[in-house]
Amino acid sequence: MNKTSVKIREQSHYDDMLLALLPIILCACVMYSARVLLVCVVAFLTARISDVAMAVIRKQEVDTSDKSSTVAALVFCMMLPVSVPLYIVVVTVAVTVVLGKHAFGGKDVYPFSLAALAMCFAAVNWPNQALAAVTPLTKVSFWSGAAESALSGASQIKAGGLPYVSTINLLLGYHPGAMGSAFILVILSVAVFLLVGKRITWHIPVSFLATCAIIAIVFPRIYGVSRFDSLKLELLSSALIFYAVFMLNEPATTPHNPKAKIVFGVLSGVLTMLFRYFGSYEIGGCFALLLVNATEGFWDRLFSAGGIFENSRSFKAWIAQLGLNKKKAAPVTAGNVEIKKAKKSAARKSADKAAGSADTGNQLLDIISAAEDNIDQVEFTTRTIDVKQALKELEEKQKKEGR
Amino acid sequence: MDRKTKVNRELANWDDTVRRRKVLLSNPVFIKGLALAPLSVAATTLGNSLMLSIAVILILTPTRVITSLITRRMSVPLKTFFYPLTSAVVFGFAYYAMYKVFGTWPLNMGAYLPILVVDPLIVKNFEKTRKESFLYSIINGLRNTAGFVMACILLGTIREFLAYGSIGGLSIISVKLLPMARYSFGGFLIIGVMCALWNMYVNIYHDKLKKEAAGYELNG
Repeated sequence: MNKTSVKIREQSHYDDMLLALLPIILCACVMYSARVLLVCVVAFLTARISDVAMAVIRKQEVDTSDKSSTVAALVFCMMLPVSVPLYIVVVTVAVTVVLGKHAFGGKDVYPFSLAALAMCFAAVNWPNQALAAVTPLTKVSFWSGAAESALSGASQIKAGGLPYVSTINLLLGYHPGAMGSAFILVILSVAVFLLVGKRITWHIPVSFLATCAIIAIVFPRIYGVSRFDSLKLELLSSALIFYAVFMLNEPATTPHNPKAKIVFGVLSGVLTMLFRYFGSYEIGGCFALLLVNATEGFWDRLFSAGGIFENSRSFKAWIAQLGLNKKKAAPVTAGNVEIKKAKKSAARKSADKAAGSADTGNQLLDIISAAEDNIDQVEFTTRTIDVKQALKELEEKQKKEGR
Repeated sequence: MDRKTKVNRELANWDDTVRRRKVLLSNPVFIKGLALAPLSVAATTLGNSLMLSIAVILILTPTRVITSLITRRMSVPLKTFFYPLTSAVVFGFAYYAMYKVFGTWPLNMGAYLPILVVDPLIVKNFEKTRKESFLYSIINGLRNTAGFVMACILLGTIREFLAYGSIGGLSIISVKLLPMARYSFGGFLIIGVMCALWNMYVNIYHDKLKKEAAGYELNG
């Protein structure tokens, strides 16, 4: 897959993320009030204005197709309570877009998840307002956001208590909490939509949730209930599933190699649970994600071609240096001689094959370089570009032109 | 001297201009990045900033002047040793004077007031192998002090406004815009932003000079 197609994919990722957030925002409007829309609109406008202002300051063109800030702003809103004052949303989103995104180079190159950064920023600055919880269907003032606050399930668990919420209410999100991170069923259906549309892969969410689940079962922190109930409350009463779907799959801040993704997910899970068990904030996932984001490039390098786990030659050489692969010499028998001969002929055959494939490879490289020269002639009509098809078309075109 | 000659001369001797205008174009804090530790930790309010500024006024220039007199015939390694030593002696007097005037207020700074003795803002000058003249040490010391005091008061005012919504203890707004500004990591973040803005200002000024000079050349 070439660079252009990767960029197109990332853009469609953000488009689909926006689409996926819509049902959650709708549910939040029903459960809480129309103030959810007000908070989302304020966050959206702040993100866009900050993007435009930074583009002007950096003397760059305003990129209207870049939706990463918008998605991050809306994801951040869904983790806030409905009673949050609007100035908190404005300051947090502006600081996150300016310092978290543009100070690091802007679109596609920022190292930390913007939504996680925003949530950590808000939690450190205004813990009482940003981490408050409101019971669904309570009266909320539209402009000031004044509402009766309650104790969320996550805070009850953190304080050593036991939240009395039925499983169906946990799944429906009908318990005190943030605006949109508690609608488990809706989030799961949205996750299926994103997985089927190949906008996210299973690697990070599954490895992250599996790690969290294993830790919750092996080291339960809720006493007086069975291990299964403890697991259920850990996973469903907080925003773990929301993190797994919306925050851990940002293309700019997560690895691209599947194996690296699994390690990334496992590490995020371990750190999230450590923050939740021993940290002072309930949003341990956000702090954990910021830490793991810093290692993203490392995992990709480690597992990509040339990395220590993929480059078998260097790995073998390394083992040889350690002297771990010294085998005993086999006794010389008629059978062994035959085996050696068979091995030699097989090696010769594979060498011939490799030479043949090298020729093919060279031809392919010639074709690719020709394609690069005539890149303006290739028509990119689909979202994901089929390179083989494009090359074929180019060859046919060249044949027709008699080149 | 007309404007055209002045602009062309400033542009031709840009490095000299920067050196001369230490307060703005070569600010010791925002451009050179000196004295960041006491500023990010201790300069949380306007009052604290004033206290820090007074300490620097009392320490920086006298240290430079005394050291330039003492180390005139000394080798560089000995000069290195004498800078913090002189600074420590001067700080002793300065602290006593501050204690007499302000009482226990300087204690609010914690370790960040005595740490000024070995702050790069004060001891960085020992790196220079060139001997500093008496007059130059006074001028340079005053320029550096003015640059630091300006940055310190600006930073303290901004941090107090963002963290508490007040300036000099006087409440301005009821909303706390950025409570983390009272912590050292918040201070570090704000210093970073201010450094970026300051550099932007210097670049804009440089570009403006360039454009003006080009305009004069075009118009003859």
